[in-house]
Amino acid sequence: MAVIKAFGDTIGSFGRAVIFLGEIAGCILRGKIRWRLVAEQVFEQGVQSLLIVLLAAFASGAVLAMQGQVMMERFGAKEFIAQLVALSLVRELGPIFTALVFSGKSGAGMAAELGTMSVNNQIAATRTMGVDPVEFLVVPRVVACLIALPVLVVLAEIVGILGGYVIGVYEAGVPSAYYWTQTINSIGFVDFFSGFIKVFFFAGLIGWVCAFQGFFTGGGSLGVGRHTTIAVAFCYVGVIVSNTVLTKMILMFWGY
Amino acid sequence: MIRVEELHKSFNGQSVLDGVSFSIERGEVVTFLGLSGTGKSVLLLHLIGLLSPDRGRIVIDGTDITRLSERELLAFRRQVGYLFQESALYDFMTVEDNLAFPLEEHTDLSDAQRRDKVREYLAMVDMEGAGGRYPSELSGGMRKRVALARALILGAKVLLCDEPTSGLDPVRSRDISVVIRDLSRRTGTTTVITSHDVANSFRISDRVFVLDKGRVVAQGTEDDIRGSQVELVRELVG
Ligand SMILES: Nc1ncnc2c1ncn2[C@@H]1O[C@H](COP(=O)(O)OP(=O)(O)OP(=O)(O)O)[C@@H](O)[C@H]1O
Ligand SMILES: [Mg+2]
Repeated sequence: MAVIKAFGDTIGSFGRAVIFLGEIAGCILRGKIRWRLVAEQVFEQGVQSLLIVLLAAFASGAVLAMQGQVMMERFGAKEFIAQLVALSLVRELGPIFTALVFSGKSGAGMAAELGTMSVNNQIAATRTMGVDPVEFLVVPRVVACLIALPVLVVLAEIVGILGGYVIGVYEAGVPSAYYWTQTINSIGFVDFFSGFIKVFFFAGLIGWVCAFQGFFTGGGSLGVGRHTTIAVAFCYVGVIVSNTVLTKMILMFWGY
Repeated sequence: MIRVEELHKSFNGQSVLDGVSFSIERGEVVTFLGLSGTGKSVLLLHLIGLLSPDRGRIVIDGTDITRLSERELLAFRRQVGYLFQESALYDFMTVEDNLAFPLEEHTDLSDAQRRDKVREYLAMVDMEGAGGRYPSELSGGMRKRVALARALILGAKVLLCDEPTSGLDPVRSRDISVVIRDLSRRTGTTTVITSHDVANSFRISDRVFVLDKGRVVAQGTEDDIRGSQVELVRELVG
């Protein structure tokens, strides 16, 4: 019985989440986007995640180069470190690491902010003033995700490549100029965009999940904590699972 | 001005409003008294269309608001001010910006006109000096005043106040009550208050309604209520 009820609740809240997504999309399609608020949110979300994103990116670039050195030296192909680092970052690690960090920082922040507003009746108050809270409070945050995350990913990829460069050049002894040309030549249009398409999907997913959890928070400050945690957990699972599916689809579509 | 007929509402099979009916004249100040959990907040939320009833009609200024769509409700709510129990000011805006917000949304006032209006309404609630502060820097009573000014700034025809005195000391409770009445009188607003503060309710209301178990069990002036034979009413006012 309890299982059936839990299952029913899950379907119910998924239904509500889909309706909520429809409301958000409706506002965006009708052009009800408050760009000044979007700009504020892009800045806020970007700043929240920037430092950790860059740190994670630099470290992963460096580690990729270290492992790359070991692997490539086995095949006597040390000069391919640059490609390994650049392609791994651009196709896979940049988007996914950044999306995970962004979920935990900016996504959590957004869920907590909206959650606090919900339990303090600021969302209800918006309605009493004749303003649609989805348009005023939610859409700017979701649209901001779609802008902030891609920007962060590009920065992460650049910094990650720098991390790889430091190891590749100073540890593995690849000549600097050679490292750069190898990096630039290795990244094709498809490599970049196959990663980048995923980023927009992740951004939408994180925005949707965190806004939904925050917006429908009840139960006081405990509720805010609970909904924020759920939001981040859903984002992690969603990003990781959808990444696998998207990667498969992209590989099928482009063939490489 | 406000006519409510046979309002029913239950949550998860639990009846909260069980046939509430009353009517309120234009410009009247009325208070709903009742114990905690009798559905006072639920009733008030119905009057602004944030909850919709299972059954019954709510006619405000000639419109049955239970039949309005969400979009029509947004427009309707511009004429109604709502004072939340917790004030519900935007905590990411200053006091001034909180007051300016409804004006920015619904009027074409210039920046200067808007600033004047904000200053005028802050003065009405004795909060002139606080415009640049954030709600978190104010006391509960001050927040209530600011929220009251925000609720009225669009020239509300109807003002709904959910427990304006809860959480305030006796002096502040009387102050905010008197401010509500004075502003209602001055702006000709029809005002509905919920409370369990008997003394202040009688002090400022033209009529008082007592809610119990989802129904109105007594109504009228202070004398009517004090003369009531209903058990709960006697306990409440006695
Ligand atoms: N959204 C809701 N979902 C389920 N039950 C609700 C909801 N809102 C209110 N209730 C229930 O309705 C009843 C009346 O609540 P309400 O908040 O109106 O009481 P109240 O008279 O305002 O009390 P108080 O004086 O404590 O504010 C309570 O039992 C409450 O649990
Ligand atoms: Mg209440």
